[in-house]
This record gives sequence, structure tokens and C-alpha cells, in this order.
Amino acid sequence: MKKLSIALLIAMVSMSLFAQGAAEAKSEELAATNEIVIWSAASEEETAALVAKFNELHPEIKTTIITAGSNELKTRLMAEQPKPSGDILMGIAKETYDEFYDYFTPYRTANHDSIAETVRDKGDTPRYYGYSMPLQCFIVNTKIFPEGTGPTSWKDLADPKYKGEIIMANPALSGSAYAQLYMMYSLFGEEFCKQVAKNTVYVASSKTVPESVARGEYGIGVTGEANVATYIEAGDPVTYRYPTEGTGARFDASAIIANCKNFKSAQLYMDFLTSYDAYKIINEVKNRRVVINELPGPKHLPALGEINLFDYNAVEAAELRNDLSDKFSNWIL
Amino acid sequence: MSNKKPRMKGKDITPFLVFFLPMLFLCIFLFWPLLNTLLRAFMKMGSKFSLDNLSLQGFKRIFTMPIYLSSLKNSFIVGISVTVLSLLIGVPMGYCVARVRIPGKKMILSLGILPVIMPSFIGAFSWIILLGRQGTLRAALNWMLGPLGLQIPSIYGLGGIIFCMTMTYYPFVFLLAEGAFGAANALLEDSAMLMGASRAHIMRTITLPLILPSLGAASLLVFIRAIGNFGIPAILGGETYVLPTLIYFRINGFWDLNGAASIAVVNVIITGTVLYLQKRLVSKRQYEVVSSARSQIRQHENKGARIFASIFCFIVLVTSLLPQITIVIMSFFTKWTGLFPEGFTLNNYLRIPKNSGHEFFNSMFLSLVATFLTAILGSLVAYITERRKPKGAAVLDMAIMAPFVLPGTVVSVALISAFHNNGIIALGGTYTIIIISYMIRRTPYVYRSVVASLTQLNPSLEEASTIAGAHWIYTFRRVSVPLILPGIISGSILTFSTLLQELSTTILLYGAKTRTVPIQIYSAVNEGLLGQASALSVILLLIVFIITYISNHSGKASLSAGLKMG
Repeated sequence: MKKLSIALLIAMVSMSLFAQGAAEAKSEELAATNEIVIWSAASEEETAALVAKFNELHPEIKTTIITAGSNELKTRLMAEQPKPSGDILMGIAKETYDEFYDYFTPYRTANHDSIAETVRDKGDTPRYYGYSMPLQCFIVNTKIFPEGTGPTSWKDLADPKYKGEIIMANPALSGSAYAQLYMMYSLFGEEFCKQVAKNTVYVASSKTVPESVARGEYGIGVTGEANVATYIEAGDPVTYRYPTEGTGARFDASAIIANCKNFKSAQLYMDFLTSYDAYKIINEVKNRRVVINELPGPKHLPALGEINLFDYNAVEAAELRNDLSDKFSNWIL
Repeated sequence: MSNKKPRMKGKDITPFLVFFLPMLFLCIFLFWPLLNTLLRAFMKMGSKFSLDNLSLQGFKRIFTMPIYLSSLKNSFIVGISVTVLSLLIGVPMGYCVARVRIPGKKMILSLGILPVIMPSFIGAFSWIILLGRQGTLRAALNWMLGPLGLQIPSIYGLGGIIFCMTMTYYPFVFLLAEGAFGAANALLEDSAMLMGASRAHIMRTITLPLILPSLGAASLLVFIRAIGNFGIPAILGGETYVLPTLIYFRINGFWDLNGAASIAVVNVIITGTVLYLQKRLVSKRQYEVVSSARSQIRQHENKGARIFASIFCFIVLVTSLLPQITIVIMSFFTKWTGLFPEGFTLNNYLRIPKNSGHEFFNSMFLSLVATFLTAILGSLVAYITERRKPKGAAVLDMAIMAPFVLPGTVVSVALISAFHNNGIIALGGTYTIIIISYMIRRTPYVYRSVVASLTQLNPSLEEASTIAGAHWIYTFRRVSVPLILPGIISGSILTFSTLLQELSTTILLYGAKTRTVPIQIYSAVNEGLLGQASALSVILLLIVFIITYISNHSGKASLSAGLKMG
């Protein structure tokens, strides 16, 4: 009898596991109509502020937020095909949307006309709309390189006198890390990139770049401008430098995930996310540059008009990515 | 699964159920996803899974591209150096704690586990705060050493990775060695001494052979963890890349599952070879140990030995706990970018009840349930492979260990791809999938621990029970389980402690309902809120410390007891 009871216990434990899984899944499907699941690479605080405002407008929609790094969210998106559990992907580099174009659903938001064509997917029913504009720039430690010293241009990064002082994220890591490499490649070509590679330490964690420069471990980093503002705000001895040749006009975007469960709610959310109110929140909470001109530039950073921008050829960048990253990995050795 | 009929009519179906269920579980959640990953390794780069795509492209890259070759080399160097250094530190320390009368043994044992359970991305950041180019400790040491013309190098690069990993993983060796030294049958040593053998001779011919299986298991743990670690090389490595870095690039940067699988397979082959060597080394030995009675281990009483042992243990312990100390200090401040932390505050703690209550519940709940199930699964499978020795035991062994070798991301992606919303078993966004993947990833702990206990347990006790007419399931329950219980418990404590800080799997699987504390820590670190992240980590560390301290005090379940022989 005792044996049997042990066997039964084990059987029950394992059955209940499956049963629990099935029950949870079922209840989710039934209540799907008034829900929305948002995958956000933006900070928790910023996402929560946006969702709070959205719920004021649509109190009937139950909102679930998943925040994680853009790499993790991308991995989730791919792994969960063809039935993703999220409805909205927001705050990830636009290259990701181009690269995995089929994973997103076209939708023309209510605010379509107020978003310039340069900061959304081209066409009448875009698959993604701009969220914020994290321009890539240099972060410079002012204790190591006070005013008037240190690099001011991409070209300077190849100068041997900065060897060992420059830190960047490995282009194999993410869309924005690759974008930095591609910008240099499109401006000056392969030989130049080789020289920069010799001068620079390329790390496997993009978070390390601004952190290291703020701590003075390295003097110069290439990173998103919002990171620079964060460390300036925290009182660390850093400043921004926008390379004189210009920086690529890139942006972060948001989109509805293809095959999502709550398409209707997702549309309402995209309408909200492209509204002035939403951009105001993005602009204010974490002090970000947004894609509409009505709002000021972020605190601690220059206005858009003062920054030299050049057109970033996302199509060519995407085509070259595998090849260029492979070549690059040989240069750094 | 319950309608499966027993093969032999009228026979007790218990053994069948007892072994069939774990095997079914393993087939579904381990073998299938693993097979999937294995096949992918032989496909063209990209994420498409199709048998028309067969190619060796992935492997060709690994053995032709310089970055892969150098990463392969680095992985080897790191794995071997960390293992050797951990042995050099852990074995003497284990000996000191087990065989020399020094104060605070239980404290040392309880604190000793902490380095292992620190999330490595936090550990590495703490080392930068301490030993980076602008590191506080480095500045202090250089100030002291300056007059001597010495300079402490900064923590970056291969040396830093090896140092940091050794300080993280030596506890495996220390704890297992302590357990073995503390339990090696004293009667054997006593008899040798009575017959006039010298201490060195006893050490070489009796003590060391007896603790060899423990050292083998410990080295294996260290080696596997060292060549699988991503966090430390990512943050400290600079351009020193290792295989896990490249896997991370292939998955997160390119969504190239096939390419990632190829690297993962190479990683598994390396570990498999080491595993095989370790098994051969251990199985060649014959063990005398039969009695289950314990006898008092003789301790060194001489003053010199006691002072030396105390100082040695103290230095190692404090050095390896430096990141934890840093985290505790950091948790009372808002930032630490200069030499000293700034902005004293208690807010990092005060906000926890309100902001993290649910996360703490989830972490505890998920870890406890997964640990309980892992304990059952791990011990049963260990018993099957060790005692029943079915055909293909080696394959089973490999398969169980594989999730331990593979980076968490690879295992999670394999699981999600295999099960997400495919209609057979609905798991997406539930507690269930997290528990299952925890089980798959952590079964090796209990499994290893129990296998080690079993190898040291002479089968004659079990044989005696069988000869006396007991059904083998009765034997398992009444003879084997009580004897391997310490192994099960210590494996479970290790499982629980490491699950509490699990990140790489959870981050791909968590839903709003199932958010855990490490996810919160990760996002705080990402937003530069190191103070908040530290406070949460301190609470996790405290929980683990209390559990291990209590279990060390209760004697029977001490963490190192997994390898008790006497």
C-alpha cells in the first residue's frame, strides 16, 4: 500500500504540473479581448508612466508589462514564433524591425500624419513608428580628457595616441553596436575600421561602455546619447561629443507583433504611443530625445539643430551585417 | 501517461511508475530539445530548422576563423587554470577546516557557499569597483606597495577572468573536500598509524584515494562552470572572448540558432571528454567503506598548525567575499563611481516591501517547488544510472549533465522553441515552464551529489537487503535513500541557492505574474541603480546564508555531507 501511495504521489505531482500549465493557458485565452502585453526595452519607470497614461484613456484594458534588455526581448520574439505572448514591442533599435520585418504587423496609427516619414517605416501602413532618437555619440571622461583634449571626430578614433583609451561594444552584440561600426565603414571604408579596431577595446556587454568611462576605466566610449545624459545627471565626470563628421540619423521604434493575441488593444496602444502626450512622457521621464519636433531636446544634451546628422543607409547596413561583422572579428585580433 | 499498462500482469507497478515518470519527463523536456539543438549544429547558419540544410559550415567557422580559435583557446586556458587554482586553494582549506582545530568552522562553511551563489554580473561589477583601473582596493594596495616599486595590475583580461572565477568557484572544491576529509573513515587511518605509517604515507595511500571521488566531482563542477560562464568574461574580459561570449553573439546578435548550436556542441564535447576522464579515474578505484557508523576524526591540536590554518582560511574567505562585502556597503549608498561610495541612504531597503514583495514570493515559490522536484528526479536518475546500470547509462549521464554545460540561454531557447504554444503542452508565460526549465538546468546538482554518494557506498549493503528477500524498491527506499540522504539534501541546498539567483533562463520565460528578484536586480543594474540592485542582492544572500547556516548546525544535512563516506 505504501509503495502505491508513493507512486501515486509522484504521479499526482507531475500531473498537477501539467494541469496547472493547461489551466493557466486556458484562462488567458478566454480573457484575451481586453488585455494587452507590452514588451518594453525602455526603463521600468518610463514604461510604467506610459502605461499609466494609457490606462487613463482605456481603463478597460488590462495591461501587462515585460521589461528586459533589447537582446532578451528579441530572443523572446524569435523563440516564441509563431504565437508570441506579447502584443507590442517597444523601444528597440529600428534595425531590428527591418531585420525581422515579417514579425511585425502593418498598422496606420491615428497620428500617422504627425510622424515624419524619416522616423517611421516608409509607406502608408507602416510596420513601426519611431519611439525615441538615441543618437550614437562619444562619451568622454572629463578627468582624463578635459575640455579641448580628446577626440572630436570619428577620424580621431583611429589616432594611435588614443590606443587603449577607447571602449566600444562588439558589433556582433546588437543593432546599435553594429551601427557604430557601419557608420565608420560608410564614412571612411574598411582600412579605417581596421585602424580603429586596433585602438579600441571591444567588449561583450554594451552596458559596460558608459559605465567604464564614467568610472574612468577608459577615457572614450561610443554609446547612445541617453546613456551620456544619465551619467551627467548622476554627477559623474563625463561629457558628450558628437563627431564632427556627423552621426547617423537612427531611432528606436515600436510596433505591433505579428500574430499577437490582442490585436485590437495593440492598435489602441500604438495610437496612444504615437500621440503628443506619449512623446511628452518619453521626453520627460528619462529625458530622451523623441522623434517629433514639438518637444525640446533632452536635458544635458544639445538640441537636434546643433547636431550634425547624416543619412544612415539601413538597407545597406543590414545587407553587409554578417559579412562586415565576420571581417571585423578578424581585425580585432 | 497514466493509462500506460505495466508490462507484467499482476506485478507491482510501483517501480515501473517510479522510473517511468522521470524518464518520460526527461524524454520530453531534455532529450527532445537537446536532440533538436544537436541537429541544428549541423545546419547552415541561420535559424531555419530543416534537414535539407545539413552542413558543417558552423563547425568550419569554429576551426578556421581566428576569433573562434582564440576563444576556444581562451576557454581552455580559463577552464583549466580555474580548476587547478580552485584545487590548490580549496583542498588545503577543506583540510584545515575538517582536520585542524580552528574557531568558527560552521561560520566558515556557511559563508563559504556565498561566492557561488552571487549573480556573476553583479560579482564582476563589484570586482571592477574594487580592482578596476580606478578601483578602490587597487588604489589602496598600490599606495601601500608603491614604495616597493610594485603595482597591482587592473582586473581586466585573461588574468582577471581567471582570478574572479577562481574566487567564485573554489567553494565547490572547498566544501566537497571538507566533507570528504571530515568523513573519510578514521578507523583506516588509525590502523595505518598503529602499524607505524608516517603521516605523509597515510595521506598518500589512504586519505587522498578516499577523497579522490569528491575531488573529481568538485573539479568537474568547477571546470564546467568556468567554461560555461558568460557574465564574468563579458564584463571583465575586454577583448578576451570565450565560447559562451560567441554563443551569446550568435543568439542575441544574429538570431543564428544553428551557429550557436555548433559552438555549444564543441563546448559540450570538451566537457564530455573531461567528464569521461573523471569517471574513468574514479571507477578504477575500489572502495572499502561499508560501515555507516561514524567515528571521530582526529584533529590537529598543535598551535602552529592551528594559527596557520586560521590565517589561511581567513584570508581566502575574506578575499572571495570581497564582492559580497562591496554589495553590502553599496546597498546603503546611491552610487559608487569614485574611490568611495556616495549618498548614504536607507531607501534601498525601505522600498523593498512595497516594490518587491511579489517578486520575493515568486523567487521563493519557484525555487522551492523546482528544488523539491529536482531532488526527486535527480536522486532517482542517479540511482538508475549508478545501480541498475542500464544500457546507455553513459548517454543518460551525458544528457543529464548537458544542460549544466550549455549556457542557460541555449537551454531556454531550446525549451521555448520546442514547447511554446505548439498545442501539445501549453506552457507559455506560466510558472510551469519556469519550474520545468529550472529542473532541467539544476538536476545535475542533485544528480552529481547523489552519484558521488552512491559510488562511495558499497553495494553490499543493498545486496544484503536483496538477499534477505527485500524487493529492490524496498531496498532503495529503506537502505539506499537513508544512506544517500545527505547527498540529496546537500544537492538540494545547492540547487535552491543557485535557483534563487537564476537569471539567464528566467529572463526569457518570465511573465508579469512570474517576475523574480534577479529580474528586478538586472533591470536596476541596467538603469544604473546599483544601490537598489545591491539591497535586493543582500537580501537574497542573507536568505541563502541563513539556510546553509541552519543546515550546517543541524549536522546531518551539512552542505558538504553530500560526500560523507563513513
